[in-house]
Amino acid sequence: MNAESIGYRYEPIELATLLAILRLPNPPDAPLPELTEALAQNAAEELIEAGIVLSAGEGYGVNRLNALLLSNAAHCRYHVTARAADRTVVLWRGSALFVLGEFPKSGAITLTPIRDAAAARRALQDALNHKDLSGHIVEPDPPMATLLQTLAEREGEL
Amino acid sequence: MLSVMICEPNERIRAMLLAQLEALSERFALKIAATTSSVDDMERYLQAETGIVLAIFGCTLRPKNNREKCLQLGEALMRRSRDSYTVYLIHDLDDLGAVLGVCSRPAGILLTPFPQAQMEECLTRIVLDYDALNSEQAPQGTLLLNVGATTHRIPFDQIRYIEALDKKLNIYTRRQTITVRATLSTLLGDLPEQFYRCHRSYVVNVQRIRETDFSAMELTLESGERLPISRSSRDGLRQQMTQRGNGA
Repeated sequence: MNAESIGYRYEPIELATLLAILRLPNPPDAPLPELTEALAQNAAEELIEAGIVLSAGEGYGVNRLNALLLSNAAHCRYHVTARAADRTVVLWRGSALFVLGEFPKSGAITLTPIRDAAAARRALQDALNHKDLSGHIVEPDPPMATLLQTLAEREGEL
Repeated sequence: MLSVMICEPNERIRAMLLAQLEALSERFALKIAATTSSVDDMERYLQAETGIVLAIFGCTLRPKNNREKCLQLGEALMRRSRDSYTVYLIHDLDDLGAVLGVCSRPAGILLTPFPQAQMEECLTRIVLDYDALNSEQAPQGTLLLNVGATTHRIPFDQIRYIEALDKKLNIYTRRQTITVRATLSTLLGDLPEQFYRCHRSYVVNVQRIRETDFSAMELTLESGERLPISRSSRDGLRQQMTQRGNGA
């Protein structure tokens, strides 16, 4: 079976911790929790166990893939944001790749690296076509057509 | 089938490799796809033949740029499939630093004068590793997924749930969401009994359920994620939960 894409999942506090370790600003519109030292310490231990963070002397190192994803999101050229029934979806356009961030109201955040604008457009539509628990797809805010138009315009400006 | 290609300028060393691989081929599924003394031939062959699993490179300073090209090809092979193996034969110890500096994780580095025992040990270790990963027993308990030319093994225990969305499936583990083009019905046939279709669009790993709420028709996973339960699957899920001692 062939995988079309792989998204990387983090607890919200883990993502905030990774950004702090990398000294990156929060990616625009990413709904992330406030970080305290105790929470960050616990999250760092989880991330070390998962092999995402390496303990290096008194500091930490973040593996290349995660660093690439987060730096492209944090230093994006532009972004588009939509709010759906049960999640916020943000598409960041980084210098090397697009990153699709899915922030459900509860549960893990997913960041998916995407190579080009056409794939980013499809991934954005898929992310917003999620059904809620009652089995409905709710039109995102802004509506899908507006969102895709904004995406095309911003891409055209580059 | 472990498909091997050898690129070694020295005829004596090439013959040693061939003899040892032929001996191994009597016990294991292994074929020598090609042997050459030329790195350019090796490059052409690797471009044309995508099934090479083990590539053996003799690194020499002559002809010019041989070493760099060997390292580039080795890295290209590993990028194509992380399940492949590369072995470097270092003819000049000054080249060792360059080989150790590459990011392609060689499966073996052999140093001149290439003692027969070390060569045999290295090749045997690779063949045994490949055999263990690809034997009939290995895939049990795992879902095999190809990402480009790389095959990932996802242990069933790590899968929390699977979601159908249009003609795609999202497979959720703790750290990844993997999107594949398939249907739930097809995939269900490959999954063990711990997976249950709780809804038209969801298959859940019953071992990962924390609680079920049959009045709200939803279940909560250990991770806090919630999935819907359809009316038609309610009784079956209740039975699964009871059988596994989770209560409901």
